[in-house]
Amino acid sequence: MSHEFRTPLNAILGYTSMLLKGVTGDLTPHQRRNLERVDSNAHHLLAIINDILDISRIEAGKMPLTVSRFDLKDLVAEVLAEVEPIISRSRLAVTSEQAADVPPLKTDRQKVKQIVINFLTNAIKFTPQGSVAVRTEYVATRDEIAVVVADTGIGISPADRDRIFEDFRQADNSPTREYTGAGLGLAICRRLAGMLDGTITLDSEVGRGSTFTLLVPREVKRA
Amino acid sequence: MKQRRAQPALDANDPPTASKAVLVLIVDDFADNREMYSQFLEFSGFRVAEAQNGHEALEKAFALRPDLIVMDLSLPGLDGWEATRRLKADDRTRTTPVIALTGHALAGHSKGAMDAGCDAFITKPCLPERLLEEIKSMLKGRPDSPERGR
Repeated sequence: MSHEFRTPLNAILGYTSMLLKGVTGDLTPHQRRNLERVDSNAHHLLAIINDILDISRIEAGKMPLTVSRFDLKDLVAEVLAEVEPIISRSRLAVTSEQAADVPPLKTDRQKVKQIVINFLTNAIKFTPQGSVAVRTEYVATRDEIAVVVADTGIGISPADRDRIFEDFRQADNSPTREYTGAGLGLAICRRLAGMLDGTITLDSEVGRGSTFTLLVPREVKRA
Repeated sequence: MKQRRAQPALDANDPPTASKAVLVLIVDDFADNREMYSQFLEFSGFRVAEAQNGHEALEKAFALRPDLIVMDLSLPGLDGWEATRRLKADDRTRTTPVIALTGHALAGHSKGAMDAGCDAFITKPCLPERLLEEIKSMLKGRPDSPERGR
């Protein structure tokens, strides 16, 4: 199925990019502005399609689990570095606090990383001012690790707390909503966490902020 | 052939001459994508040949001896994997770099492409400038192709 989506999008993105690069001649400012809109919407559509393809691969059991041994500390540092451009644009205070006793993990690194990136970018997106804190912990009694992302953002009402994990959902799903995005990020995270035998929990208060916690076994049992 | 505009992308120290520019063979059954990459590579100073399927790819590769081949994997008839295997088994094209291009992001596709002898693997969507980067980096180490086709 993926081929059917990607081939036409490849042409849309490619030709638009070539027009913007002036391959077929100079553009008027008006033409450029309109083409930039085509371009940004096509990229948005691509992001949605990639998310949908991710979900359908997980649902079909075709998303492979790649288990390796790694340090959570390095992973969090990597995530912070990758998200840095978004962090600096946001002007939020983003801190990280890592427990010293977290042992190396043996699970799917890429999936943990994807979840943490999603938590962090969501937190920044829904926090107009204040701070975002990333914390890691080791729950020795259950041999699980926790990655906690806490923000001082708009928060999520009790009624919306379950719904935001559904496909294509944001708390505000109206067509004029303030925040863009396909609303697939958490739906994917929930499934990825499930593949790692983990869970995602949410604690939030409207107007005060949200705290997302990923809890996964230190060592994944499957595969 | 199609109407194309003159190539402005080469710098003054490296004037474009048809015989000198690097020749890239683009194999894709979907004309819109094939011509998109052709246009952009010609704009960037390359010479380009096109093929629509695996058989045509082999014919043109043996006849024109391109410096590099961009191969879509899902082709009608003789597919990109098999075409690449045959190219890599023939003395005339054994050392010609092949960049595989596919709309399938599955891990098996990439491994299959490498097993067939492809030198690089790119998943669509692939913007023309991304393909250009990949082509440049593939040609970089080659003694017979120093920094041409900028």
